[in-house]
Amino acid sequence: MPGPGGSFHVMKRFLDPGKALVDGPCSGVRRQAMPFKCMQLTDFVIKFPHSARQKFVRRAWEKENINEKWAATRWAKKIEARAKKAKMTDFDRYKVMKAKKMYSP
Amino acid sequence: MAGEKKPAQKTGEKKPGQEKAGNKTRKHKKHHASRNPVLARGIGKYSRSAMYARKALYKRKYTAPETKIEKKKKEKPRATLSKPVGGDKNGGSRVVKVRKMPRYYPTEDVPRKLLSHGKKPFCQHKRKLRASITPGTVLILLTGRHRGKRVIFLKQLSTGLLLVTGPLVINRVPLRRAHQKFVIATSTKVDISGVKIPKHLTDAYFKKKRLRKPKHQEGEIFDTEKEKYEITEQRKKDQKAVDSQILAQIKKVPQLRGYLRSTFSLSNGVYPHKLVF
Repeated sequence: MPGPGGSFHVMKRFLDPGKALVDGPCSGVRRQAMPFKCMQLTDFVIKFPHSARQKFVRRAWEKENINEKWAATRWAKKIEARAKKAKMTDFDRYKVMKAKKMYSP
Repeated sequence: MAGEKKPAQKTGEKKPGQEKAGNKTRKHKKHHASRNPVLARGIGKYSRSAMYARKALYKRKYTAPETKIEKKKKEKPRATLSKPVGGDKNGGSRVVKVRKMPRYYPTEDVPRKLLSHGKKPFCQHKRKLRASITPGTVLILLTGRHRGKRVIFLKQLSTGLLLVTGPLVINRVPLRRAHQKFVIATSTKVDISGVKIPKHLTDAYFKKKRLRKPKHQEGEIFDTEKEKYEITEQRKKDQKAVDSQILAQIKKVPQLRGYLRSTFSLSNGVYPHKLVF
């Protein structure tokens, strides 16, 4: 059965109302059960037989090039921007301030 | 470290193949382990006299060569000096003791100080430096008249204080000392590996000078002490020498000069514990 893919993992099958078996071979997520509350669905869908081995999930993932497609979405870019902002050093903050000043009238 | 019952050996005789070659004092290598097994801490199995026999001290009696004693007898330091004395009919000179008797004997004995362990004077303290502070790091000064300014760290001095410079042309901070605790280390670093810092920039160089002995009291005290700090030529020269090297490195990094010119401040919504420096 197909499962939608998050930026981190693919849902493989339902375990019970609340949890799903999840795997992310190309994004470093181990095969595990995960509650739905921890997940957000994306638009990406990969086709593989439900409960297939990690090897086949990886194949399907790479065939669809999910990593690249994900990185191109606005959602992923926003996450990245947030991460960068949190890592901003004092010097970066100064540069941002100067850049903003240049923009504003 | 318990020494077993071994026949007492002279350690010097453990190397039969060595020639004596006219050396009187040979280093006794390979000291024997303690011949006095420990029963409890501080208590050995054998008494003093038993140990004397076990260590064969009856064989090992060394006396110093006599010539040196004779020499030393002649070299006693002078106990008295003859000093000239002024004035008429004074006899011209007096015989004065070099080491004088104490002028004060306390009525009670001063109690002996208890042994302390590991209490070192300040000069022997271990100086630590935060791992985030390396030569070339941009620091934010938090106290002092230069608070908020971003400066470049040069090196740690022997008292543990940090030697820091603006550079002067950028933010009017001269070569100065800063305290490690009152400084924020940013992750921005300038490559200072090629910069040679003159060796005479030590704590003594930066220490504040105060005159402590006014010859006339009450009235002239305020004149003799240096109220106004004057920048010496030496300081200007050193400042130029160091800054010229550093400015070259600063120019290589875009926007760094402006960054060093700016000051750090907090505003609404800015929490230091959440900032990544």
